Amino acid sequence: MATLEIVNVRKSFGSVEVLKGIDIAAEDGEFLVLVGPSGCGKSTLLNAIAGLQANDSGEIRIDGRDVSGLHPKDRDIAMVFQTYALYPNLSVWENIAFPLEARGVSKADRRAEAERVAELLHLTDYLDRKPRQLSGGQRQRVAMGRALVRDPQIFLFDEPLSNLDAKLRVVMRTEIKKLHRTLGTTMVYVTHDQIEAMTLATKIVVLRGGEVQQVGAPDDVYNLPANMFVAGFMGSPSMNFMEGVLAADAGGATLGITRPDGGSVSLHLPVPDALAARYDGKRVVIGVRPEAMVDAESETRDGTYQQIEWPLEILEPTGADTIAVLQSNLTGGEEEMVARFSARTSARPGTVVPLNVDTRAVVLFDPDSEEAIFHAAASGSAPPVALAVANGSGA
Amino acid sequence: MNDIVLGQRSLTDRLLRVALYGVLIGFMLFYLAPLYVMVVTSVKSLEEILAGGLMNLPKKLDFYGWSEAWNNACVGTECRGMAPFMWNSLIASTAATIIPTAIGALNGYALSLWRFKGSELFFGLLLFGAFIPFQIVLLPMASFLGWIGWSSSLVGLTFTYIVYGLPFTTLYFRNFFVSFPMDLVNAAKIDGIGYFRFFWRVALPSSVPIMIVSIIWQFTNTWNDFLFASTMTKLESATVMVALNNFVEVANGVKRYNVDMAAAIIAGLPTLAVYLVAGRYFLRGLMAGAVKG
Repeated sequence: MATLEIVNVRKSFGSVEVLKGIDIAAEDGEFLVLVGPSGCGKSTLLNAIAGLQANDSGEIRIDGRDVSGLHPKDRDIAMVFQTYALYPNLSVWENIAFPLEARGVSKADRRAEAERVAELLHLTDYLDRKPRQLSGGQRQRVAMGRALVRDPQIFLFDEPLSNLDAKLRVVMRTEIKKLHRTLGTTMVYVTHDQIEAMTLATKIVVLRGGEVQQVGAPDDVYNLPANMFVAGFMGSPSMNFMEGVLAADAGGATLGITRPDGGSVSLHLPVPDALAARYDGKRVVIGVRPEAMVDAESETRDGTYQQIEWPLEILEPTGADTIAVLQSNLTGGEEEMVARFSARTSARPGTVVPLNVDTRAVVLFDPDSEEAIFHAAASGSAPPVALAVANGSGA
Repeated sequence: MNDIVLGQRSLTDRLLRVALYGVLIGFMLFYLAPLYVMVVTSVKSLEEILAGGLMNLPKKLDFYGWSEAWNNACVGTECRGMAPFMWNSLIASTAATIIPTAIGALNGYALSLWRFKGSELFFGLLLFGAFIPFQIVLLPMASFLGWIGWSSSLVGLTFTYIVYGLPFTTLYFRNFFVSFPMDLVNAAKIDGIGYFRFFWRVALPSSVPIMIVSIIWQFTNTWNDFLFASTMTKLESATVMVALNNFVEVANGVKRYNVDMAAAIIAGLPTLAVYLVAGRYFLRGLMAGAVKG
C-alpha cells in the first residue's frame, strides 16, 4: 500500500530523449495504467519506477520517499513481465517462492506460502510442474504469484497480457481486476491496448513521444480527450474527425462542414461566447465518437441529436448493430469515419444518408495545435488538461 | 505422362542415392582403416606381424602387446608401463577441465548477464587469448613457471592448461548466456535475488549443454596435448602422450608393433570414453551456444 509520485522524470538514450519530464501522481490503491503507442516511453517509465534503468533526473517517490537512487530490491515493488520471466529449471512452487528464498525464509514456510498464493490463482494442481509444462495463461498466473508472494507496496505490470491469445486475454484481464479489488494494492500497468486501459484503470496516463498527453479517469479520458491524439487513440473504432468553419451566433456557434462530395451541412453547438468569438470564421476540427453518430432508425434522445446528411460508403453488419463506413473530409487524409447504425438499418451504401449526431458528446479541436478547445460533454467546465481559452460558462 | 516423368526422376534419384552412400561408405572405410590396423595389430603375436599381412585378421588372439604396454613398457631406462603416466594425465586433464569450466561459467555469466563498464573490452582481450598460437607463449610461460618454482612439474603443466583453457570456456559460456532472456535477470534483481544465487540456482543449471561442450573441449585438448607436455615435464611428471612418444621412440632392437599399437589405443581410450558418454550433448551444445550466440 503506497502512493506513487513521479516528478519531472527525464531519461535519454544517447541523443534520443525518451522521457521528457513526466509528472504523475497515483494515490494509495490506485490502478494506474500507462498507455500509448510503441515508442511512447511507457516501458522506459516503468523500468525507471522499477529501478531497472536509472532516470537521468527527476524524482520517483513511493510513499513520499524518493527511490531514484535505490536498488530495485530495496524499492519494495514486484513486477510481472510480458515474457513472464519464469525460471525454466525451477518448478512452479519454487518459482513463486524464489523471492522468499533470497530472504532466508525456511523451505517449509516457503512451500506453505507458495501454496497459499497458488490457491488464490488456481494453481494448486500445478505446483510441482515446470513452467514449460504449463499453458500461457497458467504461466501468466505463476508470474503473478511470484509478485503476490512478496506482498509489495506497488505492483508493476509490463504488458502482461500481450503474449496471450485474444480470448485468454479477456479472462486474465478480469482476473487482474479482481486481484486489484481483493488486494487494494497500488498497481502500475503498462499496455498499448486502449481497451485494457479503459477496463482496468482507475487512472489512465496517455503517453506519446515521452510526454504525458492526458491523465484522468477512464471516463474523462474517453469523453473529455485533451487533444486529437488522445481522442484518436482511446476508443475502438476511434473517434471520427471532420473539418469545418465556426460561425458565432446566438447561444453558441454554428459549424459549417463541407462534405467530401461537395455538399455542405451544419451543426449548431452550444460553445461559450468567448470561444465562439475567438474562433469566429476560423477552421476547427470536430470529433464525434462512432456511437454518437447513428442512423435515422436508431433511438435518439430528444433535443441533443441534430441531423446531417452524409455519403455512405460501406455497411458492415456485426449482428448486434451495423458499422457504417463514411468518408472523412479531413484535408490530405484518406481517413475514414465510422458510425454505428442499427442492425435493421435501411440506409443504402453509395447514397447520401441521414446521420443523427449527438451534439452533447462532440469535441472541438484547434486544427493547428490539435488541442481540444471545447467538450460538449463537460458543458460549463473547462477541458481537464487543456487550453485556458475554453474557460467561461457553457450554453 | 506424369507417371513416366515421375518414374524417370525416381530412377535417377535412386542412382544418385546409391552413389552418395557408396562415396560415404568409401570415406568411412578409409578413415576407419588405421583404427582397424591398430586394433588387429595390437592383438597379434610379433611373429604374425613380422610375417606380413597388415590387413589380415589375427590367426590367434594374443594379448601380449596389451599387458606389456600397460605393465612393462619403458621410458628411457625405467620400465614401469603406462599406468603412472595415465595417472599423471588424468590428474592434469581433470583439473584442467573442472577449473576452467567453473571459472569460464562464472566469467561468461558476468560478461553477458551482468555487464559492467568495460566488460566488452575485457571480453575482447580475453578472446584475443584464444587466438594466440601456443608456440608463441611456450618460452615465456616456461620461464614464468621457472620463476615461480613450478617448472618441469605436473602443477606447472596443469596451471598452463588452466590459463589457456579460460579464453575458450569463457567464450562458450558467454555466447550461451547472451541468448538467455534478460527479463529473468531483471525479475531476479527486483526480487532481491543476488548475483551468486541466480548463478547457482538458475543460470548454471540451465547451462548443462554448454558445460558438456566445455568439458569435452578441455579434456580432449589437454589429454592430447604434446607441445606443452613435452616442454614442461620431466620423466616422473610426463603425461601419457609424452610417454607414448618415448615408448615408441626409444625401443631397441625389433620394433614391437603390437605393444606400440596397444599403448596408442590405451592412450586414446579416455577421450573416446568422454566423447561417447557426452557426445550427444556436445552437438546440441554447439548449436545452442557457439552458433546462436
